[in-house]
Amino acid sequence: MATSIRILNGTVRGKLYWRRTLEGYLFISPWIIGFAVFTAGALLGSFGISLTEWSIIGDRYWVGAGNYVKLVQDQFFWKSLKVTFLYLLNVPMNLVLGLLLALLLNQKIQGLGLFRTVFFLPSVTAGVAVSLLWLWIFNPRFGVINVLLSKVGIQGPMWLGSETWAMPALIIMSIWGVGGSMLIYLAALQGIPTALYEAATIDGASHLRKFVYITIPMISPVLLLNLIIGVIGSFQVFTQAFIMTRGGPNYATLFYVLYLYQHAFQWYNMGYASALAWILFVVILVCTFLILKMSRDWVYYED
Amino acid sequence: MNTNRLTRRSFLNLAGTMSAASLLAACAVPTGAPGTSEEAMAEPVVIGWARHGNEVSQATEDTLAGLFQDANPGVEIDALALPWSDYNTKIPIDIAGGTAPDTFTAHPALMINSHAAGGAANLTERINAAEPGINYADILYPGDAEFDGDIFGLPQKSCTHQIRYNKDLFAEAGLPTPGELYWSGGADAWNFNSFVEIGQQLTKDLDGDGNPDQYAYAGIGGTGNVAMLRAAGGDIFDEAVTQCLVNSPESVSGLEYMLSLVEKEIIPSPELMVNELGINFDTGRMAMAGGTTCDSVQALHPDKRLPFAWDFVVLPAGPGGFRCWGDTDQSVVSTSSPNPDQAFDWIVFRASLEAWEQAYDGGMKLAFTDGPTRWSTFDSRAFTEPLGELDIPMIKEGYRHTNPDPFVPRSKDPYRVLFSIYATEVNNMLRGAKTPQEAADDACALIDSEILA
Repeated sequence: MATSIRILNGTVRGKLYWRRTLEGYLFISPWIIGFAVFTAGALLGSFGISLTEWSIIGDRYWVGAGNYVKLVQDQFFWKSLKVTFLYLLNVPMNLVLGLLLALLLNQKIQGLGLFRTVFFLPSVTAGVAVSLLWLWIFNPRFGVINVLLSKVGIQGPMWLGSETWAMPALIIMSIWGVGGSMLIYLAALQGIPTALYEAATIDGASHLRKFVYITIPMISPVLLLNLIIGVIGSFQVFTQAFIMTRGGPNYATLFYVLYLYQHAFQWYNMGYASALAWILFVVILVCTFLILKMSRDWVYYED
Repeated sequence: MNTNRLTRRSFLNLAGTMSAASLLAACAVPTGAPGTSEEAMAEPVVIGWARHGNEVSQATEDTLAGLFQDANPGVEIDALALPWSDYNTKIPIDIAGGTAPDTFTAHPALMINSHAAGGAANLTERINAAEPGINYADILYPGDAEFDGDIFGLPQKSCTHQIRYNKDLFAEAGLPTPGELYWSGGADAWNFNSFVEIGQQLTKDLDGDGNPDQYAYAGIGGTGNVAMLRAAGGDIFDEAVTQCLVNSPESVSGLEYMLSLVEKEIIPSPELMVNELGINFDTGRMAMAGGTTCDSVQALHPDKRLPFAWDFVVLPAGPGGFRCWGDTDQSVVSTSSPNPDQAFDWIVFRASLEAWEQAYDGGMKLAFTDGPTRWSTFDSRAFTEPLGELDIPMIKEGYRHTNPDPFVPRSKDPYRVLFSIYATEVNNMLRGAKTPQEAADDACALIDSEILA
């Protein structure tokens, strides 16, 4: 130990240290180069593009902050932002339902593996297939939901064809993908030391008190994780709207990323689309920062 | 024991050398300069050719390429058919990067963008030099590829939207077919009024549950409703594409007519999405449907035949007369092509009647995959024999009634106007959320602020 300290702090340290540092960087250089070119480079490139007017195949015209100014005046930008924030309502629903499901599947019952698989399956099903399936489910005349509603004398809404019901329909649909967060909760629940529950039982704690004072604090880091994943995922929602509603009716499901896609790849306004992407990046960054800042008050870390 | 152990230093040296070599190789620009040796001279000139399409289109292009290569030894056509969305991402990026294929298909929106970006070569001199071989006067819709008097493309295919009708359902209802009405009385017999009269007899509640299970028509969508607007005497833009005309009295009357079709249950409301219910033309539960003459004819292919007799008819005449929607996908020569002569020769062949007939003699029916490129195509057995079950003069009528200079190649963001702004407002109106006038005013307000401003 003394030798290594001397080497690190003495003159020998310099040569060996720098050689090892260089070797280390050489080993990770493929990743660094990949990150620099394909991620950081593209990121900075998109910022550069956001300062231009560019239709991909034409010349670029420098507009400075013009795209950002135009964005503030663009009614569809605000509309898409509003629609996307509205969709965030799915996050608390999915957090609660995911946890409830995980609690149910954390019991020792027969066929547990089957249930876990069944609930998780929708999360690994391709988004396009899920969207097509739900198109049928929400069909106003023959869809299973409206057929069931009609059995109890209720005339179901037009769902995706209705300006009022299209967004609730997509939020309901999002519940189907709750298996992902359920799995993370399940792992967290199984990591809670049983000694805590045993001690609480000896003290006479009820199930509810155990849940509130042991389970929730112990899984709070996972709650935070699912919250952040849910919020980021909701800001980036695209497939459902692209396949099922194309942003309609009357822009009721014009999600932010769909609007961005339209500008970039349907209307070839690449500069404007890049500006939209950067605003989205900032919005997600701010939201994540706020969530992390507030999490200090409710997330419990054992260490 | 292996005494030649690889040391860490030598491994790193080796890895570093290989990385540097790979990097240099990746960055190296192929010279592309033809060699002077005989071997280099014998290398064929490869012409890249890309179009949007599917695996059937790929087979079509490979066959046509084979025919061209047979007649042009030393030239090889490297054909590529990409799905629509992939195509529209790849080609613009290739043009921007100067790596576009030597020749490629440009749909109207891509045509104007390619031209504006200088990505499409001016073909005027070549066409003039080749006359009368090319016979440019025979080409359908020549205006689509013309900018400031110069020509930048030759047609790959031209399509028009007409109405397909189920002959069996008309016979079952004891009604004359639209084709019979058109040929017997023209606009006097096949018009907005007769369309409503017929339509009301073709929408039916077959199971008695109070909801129609068979509709008369499904054509309000995409470019179909633009054609109806035009038939009513309206339009989206004025000729100079400087003024929105959706809220003109003629256009609004066209929108009112479309709304009346929903109210009379001749067409389903947009919310019903009947296509997903199996109520569509192909299932035999839709008496009439909009469709392109390029794509719909595939239903005559032995593998895709429909279980009923059908035919085409032009859209009914409104106050503005008969109007169909149509446009041309152009074959263009990329300005970055190192072999523009051979590329031009290829697109000349691709646009020729000769290509249709040679392909037909070889067993391939272009009539099933591509719309005509020339007026003379309609008289060719390469067109009339495969599509002989249909009323071919009627198909030709559709092309004749198509506005030869649609706004798409001339306006900014044409697909945003068509498929987003205009389509949304028409849907708003059809589902009763707005009156025709409100929808028209809102469409124009958006077009003014988002497109024309």
